[in-house]
Amino acid sequence: MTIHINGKPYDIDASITIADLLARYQEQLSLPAHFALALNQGFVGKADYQTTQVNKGDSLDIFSPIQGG
Amino acid sequence: MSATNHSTNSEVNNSLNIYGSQMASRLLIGTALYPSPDIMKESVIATGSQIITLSLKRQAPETNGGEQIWQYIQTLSNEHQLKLLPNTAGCKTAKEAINLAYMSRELFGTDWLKLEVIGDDYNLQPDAIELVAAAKQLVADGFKVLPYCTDDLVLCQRLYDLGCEVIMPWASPIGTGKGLLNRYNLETIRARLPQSTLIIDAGIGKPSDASLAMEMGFDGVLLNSAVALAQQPVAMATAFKLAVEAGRIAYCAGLMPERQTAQASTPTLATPFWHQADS
Repeated sequence: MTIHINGKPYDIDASITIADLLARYQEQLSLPAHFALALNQGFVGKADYQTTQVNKGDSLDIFSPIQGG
Repeated sequence: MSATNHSTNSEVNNSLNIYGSQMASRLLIGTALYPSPDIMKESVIATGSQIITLSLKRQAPETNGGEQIWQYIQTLSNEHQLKLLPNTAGCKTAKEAINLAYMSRELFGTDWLKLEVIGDDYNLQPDAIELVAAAKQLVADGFKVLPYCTDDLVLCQRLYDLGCEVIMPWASPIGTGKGLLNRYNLETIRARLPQSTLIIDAGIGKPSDASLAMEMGFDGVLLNSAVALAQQPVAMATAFKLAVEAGRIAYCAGLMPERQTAQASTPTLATPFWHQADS
């Protein structure tokens, strides 16, 4: 089944927790040390990574700090 | 209508109140658009600012996100005891802004938030309806919201009424450098919201714009492009520091009233060759 991470499709076998997903794709995603994320445009806090499932068709967006005005 | 209605001008108050935090500097500075990170750092230091703005962006796949710039900003912040003011730039709906606010609070460890909800791509004008909706939710969720808004009295009043102690009307659209386009509107907001902390955000192009805002009684100025895009950003940062200080001192000193007709400053009585006109 397909999910999207930052707009890019990824194939996974079955539903998976955010924590497991990030661990599996950590290298491929070049995850920075500091980031926050949203699942289907809704914020998910770090405390909920272990219990929040990513399912077929879901979109995960990873945000990191940038300069701003 | 006069900005002098705001408070007792003779009372020199040199601290900027942000939700109870007292800041010696009344200049807030952005961290974007500088020619290099080193020039950004030198410029921020030169402004004397104690508050810097930054943002969050969706990380491009297979890149290292903003880790490097975050480390740089974090070091700068730690070394100079700067407070972080994350923004919600790029958000077009209340829902987007609220979600980004939650991410900011988790990532940056602050409940301060420069709330931006843009309604028009051409002039980056805030969407008043979405802005109020987002502010209402975020205030209820414990954020200290600093909304970026237009110079609309009723909008500012609504934001204040729902709990925004700091309100940041624009001088003119972001990045235009056009200065204070509507002085009447801004003077009206200052006079009608005397208890709020009012910061001019966006559109400042010259140090004299910043001075003018401060002379009108605004509590602070937030800018970025005017320093970052100057030919010599560090020198311009110093110019803005001095301009904001001068404007604040002038406001506290009390400006003389404008007059429609000339009035000699040198006494005319008893001066050589002076004769009273025959009536």
